[in-house]
Amino acid sequence: MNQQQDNPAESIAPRPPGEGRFTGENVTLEETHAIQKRQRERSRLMAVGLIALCILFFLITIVKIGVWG
Amino acid sequence: MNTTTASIETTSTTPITAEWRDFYALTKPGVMKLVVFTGLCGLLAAPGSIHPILGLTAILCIMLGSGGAAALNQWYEADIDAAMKRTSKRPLPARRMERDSALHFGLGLSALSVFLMGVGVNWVASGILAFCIFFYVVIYTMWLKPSTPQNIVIGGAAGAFPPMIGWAAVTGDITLMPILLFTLIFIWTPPHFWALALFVKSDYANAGIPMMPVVAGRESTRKQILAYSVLLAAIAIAPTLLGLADWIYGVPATALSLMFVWLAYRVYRNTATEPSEMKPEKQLFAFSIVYLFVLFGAVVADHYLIGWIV
Repeated sequence: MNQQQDNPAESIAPRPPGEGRFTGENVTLEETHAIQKRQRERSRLMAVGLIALCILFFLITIVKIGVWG
Repeated sequence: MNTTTASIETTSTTPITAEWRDFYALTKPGVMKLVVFTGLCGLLAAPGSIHPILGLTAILCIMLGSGGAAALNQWYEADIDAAMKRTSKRPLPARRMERDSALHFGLGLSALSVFLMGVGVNWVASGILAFCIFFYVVIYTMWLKPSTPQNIVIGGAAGAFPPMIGWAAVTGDITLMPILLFTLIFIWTPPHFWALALFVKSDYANAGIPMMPVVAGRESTRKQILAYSVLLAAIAIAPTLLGLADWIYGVPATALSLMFVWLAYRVYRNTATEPSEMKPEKQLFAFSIVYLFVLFGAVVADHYLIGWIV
């Protein structure tokens, strides 16, 4: 086990720019699938959030211009 | 080389793609519930009315602001969280998320909440929300918490703003009642957190956080818990004495405040040093949460039911 995992305080120390980014290297097929699954889930949630925000802004506008008193 | 070893060796170079659950955990949902509840009570207890869509927007903004501030708090305190058993499983110390992701998430939520509150509700509520986030992240997290045992006393103000924000969302101004609600949470925070700090003292000491039991000792902390509890009881019954609330609030506020002081007195009398023997402290901590929920519920009930009953 590497030392970063032995000491949790060290494991969250700042890392050089680019380190830890997805490059496709040193990643097993299972890990790639897991990463893609998480990315898909996050993308879906982001889409739902943005759509909800659009609806909310629309409703606020309707209320502000007085259509619903 | 077996699969397990290979998986561990790649951990430091593989990307950390956090799950949505990690982002959710970053918002401290438990704390958020209390923040949203007190904000909602402030909104419902305020005189006048607000369109339901705008009311929901105000609550959403309080929720987003609370989540954003919590994310920024965890981004800044990741190293401290890693050193404490209670917080070591959070997404950043557990290395399930990039630190930058937490920063961007926190800043994004905070900015969105303030903007949405200003555009959708009013800029007074938005201003208080912005100050509240700033107070929690900069004044409390970055400045007070690591530097003074009075951190929780002054920092408690950050958690006391939500009812004021809810009130301002309806009225657009601040009067005596929201100030009393603010003071109630402000004075409630020290005995609530110090009761917790007494039975997790070693955790705070390991992390180098100068919480009161770590710096001043258990006896002094217990004495201060009792003093703050008496002050809290006085603040809790003040709205009734000042004619700002009726008996629907006054009766439970008086009864629960007496109970609070009694539990604080039991903490004061306790001399235990081991967490396993700190039953009064654990009881006070648990009761303090119920106390705040019931009191704020009573403020709303008093506002709506008194006219109906009388």
